[in-house]
Order: sequence, then structure tokens, then C-alpha cells
Amino acid sequence: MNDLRYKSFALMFAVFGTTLSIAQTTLNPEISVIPRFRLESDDGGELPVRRIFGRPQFSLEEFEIAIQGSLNPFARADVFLAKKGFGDEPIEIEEAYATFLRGLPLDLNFRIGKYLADFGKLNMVHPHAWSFVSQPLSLERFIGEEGINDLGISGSILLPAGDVLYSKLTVDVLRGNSISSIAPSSDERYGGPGLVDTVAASVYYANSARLMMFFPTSENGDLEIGFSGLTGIHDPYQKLRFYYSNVDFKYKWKPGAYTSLVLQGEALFNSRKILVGPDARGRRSFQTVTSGGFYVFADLQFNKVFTIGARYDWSQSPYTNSDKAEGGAVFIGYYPVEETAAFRLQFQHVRSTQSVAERRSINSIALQFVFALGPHKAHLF
Amino acid sequence: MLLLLVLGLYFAGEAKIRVVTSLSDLAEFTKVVGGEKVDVDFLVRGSQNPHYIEIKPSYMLKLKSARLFVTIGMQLELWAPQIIDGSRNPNLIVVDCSRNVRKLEVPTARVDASMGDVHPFGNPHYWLDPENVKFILQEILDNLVKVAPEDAEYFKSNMNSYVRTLNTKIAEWTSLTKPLKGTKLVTYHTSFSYFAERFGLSVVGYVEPKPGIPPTPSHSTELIQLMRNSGVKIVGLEQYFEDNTPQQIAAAANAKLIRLSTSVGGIDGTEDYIRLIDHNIRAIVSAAKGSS
Repeated sequence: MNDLRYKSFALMFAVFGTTLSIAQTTLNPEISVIPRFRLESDDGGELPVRRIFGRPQFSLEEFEIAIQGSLNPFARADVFLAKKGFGDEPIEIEEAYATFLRGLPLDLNFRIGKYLADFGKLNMVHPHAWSFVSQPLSLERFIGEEGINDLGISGSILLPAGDVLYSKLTVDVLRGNSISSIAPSSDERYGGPGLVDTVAASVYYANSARLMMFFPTSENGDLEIGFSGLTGIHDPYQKLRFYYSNVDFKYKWKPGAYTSLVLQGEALFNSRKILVGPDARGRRSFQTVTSGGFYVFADLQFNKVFTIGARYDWSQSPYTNSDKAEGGAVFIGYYPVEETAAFRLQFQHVRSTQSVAERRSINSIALQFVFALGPHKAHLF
Repeated sequence: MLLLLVLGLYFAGEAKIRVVTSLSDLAEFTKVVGGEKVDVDFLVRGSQNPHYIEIKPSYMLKLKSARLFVTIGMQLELWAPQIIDGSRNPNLIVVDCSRNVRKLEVPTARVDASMGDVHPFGNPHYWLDPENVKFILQEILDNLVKVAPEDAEYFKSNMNSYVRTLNTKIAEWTSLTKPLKGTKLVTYHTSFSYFAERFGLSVVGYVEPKPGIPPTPSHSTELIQLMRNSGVKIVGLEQYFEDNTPQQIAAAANAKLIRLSTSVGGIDGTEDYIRLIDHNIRAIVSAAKGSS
């Protein structure tokens, strides 16, 4: 009798255990680990004394953990944790958001959380998926290394545009803090309490929107064009506003499985009010700065594992149009086994002019290695 | 009167069930069953590798207005969920045609990336066995009937008519391949497991060292040795793979390289499923004759 009871229990346990195990496997989110390593040297270390490439620096650019999955039949969640370097750098929540995909009127989609805003073409793309190693100068100068990445709510709708044109409008309301921190502590120059403190204490909402249009140009070619706008407070101390407008494009021609050509670029235009100091009568005086920048690149895949490309950058500064930088980069990508591992070698030349008297140029060589452990998804266009 | 005619034509057009399929083969099968009652489009062209598809907004647009999305399943279309989500179509029915198919090469141990791109639910290239097409047709029929039950008889009659044609061709193909029973061949990827089993062929090796992994020199050397030892005289190459390495392997093993197609429209002369299987069988028969 005891034996029978034991067997029944064992059977029940086996059945229940198996079910539980299958259920856990299928309910677990997808987890990926994507570290980016970089070996880099430049010839700017001993300028203006002599131009010589320094000892290459080996660094962990970023270590990213992605946790993604469906929350329920109506929504999914995406969390990206990131840590820079091998040292004491903190682990940051790069993105953590839920997207409501179904069940909303007009087939609206909503995104809530901390995320990379849909502004321009490259802002939403994580750096490990770029064809090149370094961020384009215009994006580095105008939206910062981390991009437009903030707490917010985003809504998007597909616009009715026929059977050929895919047209999507996305509108974001962002907390605005990361946008404010783009400013190079303008408040400190005028004896303010410090930007970080000011930002932490207050909220200055930013708004962005992007209209994206995609259409096939031929059997093997597709073109995407986007128009974006962003406004927010760039100087919380003086409560000064900025306006960005951006136009982007991406054309991809893919005549075969192992041949493709990508032409992509974006141009950003900036208008902002800045405090230029007290005038002759001691009153605050302001100036409106208009400036901009752009990049354009081509990337050619010529066989299953190799790509080669070149990029041209030109950019002014958000705060003055006399501070200019321009440069070019050539890069080679090697993807031995799909996207599980990538090697990218890049040579970049950057020339910057802060004033007529102050000119500087730097050459750099970087080798990047990225691997992706875990499920890797198909790439969006 | 003219207005009524135009309106009539407009609504007659609207009444068609809009179906999008992942592969061109499934588009043909859907058209076979749905006839004039369906409007069918597909995402992956026959010349493309269905494992790796870039997610284009235009695919989402196609699914937005579709009622059915017919797929192979078994995780062949790993890219499909993102397109389905992007389509924002709450009424879309996703049809998995693999439901009743007898699956081959289902892993018995835990699958991980060291095994290459192994599909955890088994080899998904089942549509290349013409007998499996009957399961696919049945799945499409069941789902079309769900959407338009009033047309059930029409769909069923279309399906039965095609199955009769298919049975005749299966008999012809079986007879053509009868002398080849046990013929050994090598293919680039594991695309022809179902096809080979149906027609009594034996795929003894692959140009890929593991599914989805590009060929390596050491694996190619081993494969050449295996081909020489086993007397393999045919290397079958799927339409979307480069022929450099397979050509070298075939030359070194004194075998013939032939282009096979895994999908309708993959290469010239494979404009429909019957012609697709015809092409593959005739290419193998011809290569086998040439080598004997």
C-alpha cells in the first residue's frame, strides 16, 4: 500500500515537475549579454609637440544585458542594463520600458519607461549594431554619448498612406533631464548652483516627434526618410529652451544574400537661446545660436562575412557656430558567424576648430570586438 | 448604373480574404485552396534564405490588412513575431502549417548555440516532401473556413483537385527516383532531409559544419574524405548559397555540383511547386546518370 502511495506521489511529482519546468522555460524572458571591447590608439596625446600614435588602450566600452519578453498578450517589456569599463563604474539602467502593442484604439502603440527616443535614425540603435566604431560627431555634440535617453511616454500611430508607403508618427513626452544635461554646465559659468543639482531638483519636460516614411524603390531597394523635432530646456538654471529639427534617410540595396549597400545620413539643425552675460547696464543678455551638423555613410557588404564602409562628419557646437569639427572614418566589419561575433576596424580623422587660432586634428585607429550571447533577433531595417 | 457597377466591383474586390504567407510556396498553396476568394501575397522571395530576413516596415504594412498569416512554423520564421507586432493588426490569424506534420531531426538533448542554428522543434524544411503538402493544404483550408465558412465547399473542392494532381506527380516522381534508391548526396544545409526521405535518397553530409555555420577548411577536408570513401557523386546547393566552397569540394571529390531550389521561384524553371520538385528531381537524376 505504502509502495503504491509512493509510486503515485512519484508519478504526480514527475508530471507536475515536468509541467512546471516547461512552463518556466517558456515563460522566462529572453536574456542576452552583449559586451563591446575596444582597442584604440590615437596620435593626439603629445600634440602639439609631436604626432605619434600612443600605446593602444584596451577597454570595455560597455557591457549590456538585455532582458526581453512578453508581459501579457497585449504588451511586452524590454530592459537593458549597461555598465561601462572594468572598474567601479555603476551599473545603469540603459532602457527599461513596456510597450503596449494591442488592444488600443486606432491600433495605437504606447511605450512607457526609460528609453531611447525615436529621434533621427541612429538614436534608437544600440552602438553594438552600428556599422562603425565611433558615434558620428554631430550626434556626439548635439545629443551626447548616451543619446536622447530619458523617462517618458511615447505614442505612435500608423498613418493611412496606401499599400506601398509605410508611414508612422511617434510623439514622445520626456522627463527632459537627460536633454538638460546635454548643456555643458552653462549655469556654473554664471555662478549657478550646478547643473546636476538643478536637474535633480526639477523636471523640465521635453517633447519630441518623428514622422517616418518607408517605401520600396525597386525589388531590391528600400528607402526610409524621417523628420524629427525635439524641444526642451537646455539650461535649467536660466530656463532656456532649445529646438532641434532633424532629417534622416536610409537607403538599402540588397541584390543578393551576401551583397548589400547601405547609404545613410542625418542632418540636425539647432536653435537655442543662451545667456551671454550681463550687458553694459548689468542686465542679463541673451543670444540665439543657430547651428547644426550632419553625417553620411556608405556601408557595402561584399561577401558573407565582410563589410567595408566610409563616413563623413561635419558638425558645429550647440552653443556656438564657430566651434566646428569635421572628420572622416573608414571601417571594415568582419562577422564570422552571423551576428554572434563582430570585429570592426576603424580609422578616423577628426579636425576641430574652436576658434581661428585654435585648430586641432587627431587620427585614431580602433578595433572593436562585440559578441552576442543569447537569442539574437532579426534586424530592423 | 455605372456607379452601381463600380461599387459592385469594388465590394466584390473587398470580399476577398487577404492572406499573407511567409514563403512563396505557401502563397501558391493558399491560392490553390482559396482560388478566386483570396488575395495572396508573400514576404520571402524564392531566391532568399528564409532563415535570415531583415524586418522591413513594408512587411508590417502587408500584414496590417491581412486576415491570415500563413507560416511554416517550427521557428523557421524567427523574424515573424516582430513583423506581426509591427503590423498592429488585432484580427490577424497566424497559421502554423507544421501542426500535423511528422517532424524530422527533433533534438533529443538540450539545444544550444554550440550546435549551430539547430531548430528546437525539428527540421522545418518539411514542405519539400510533397506528401507533407497535403497537411499544409489542410491547415490552410481549416483556417480559410474559419474566416469564410460559407465558402467551405469551394475551398475543399479546390484542395481535392490539387491533391489529385499532386498524387499523380508524386507517383511520377517516385517512379523517376526509384532507380536512385540509396543514392548518396551532400547538400549545403539540412534543407533536403524530408525530400531525401520521401524519394529514398541519403544525405550523408553538409557543406556547413553545423546548421547555419559557414564552411571551414577543416570541415571541407573531412567532407571531401567522407565523399571519396562513401562514393558521393552529387553536391546539391540551395539557391541562396555561394558556390565557391561547394564547387571546390565537388571538384576535389570528383562529384557534380547541382543547383537545387528550396522554394518556388528560387531559380529559373521553378515557378510553381510542381515545377520546383520536378526541377530538383530531374537535376539529381541527371547528375546521378552522369556519374554512373
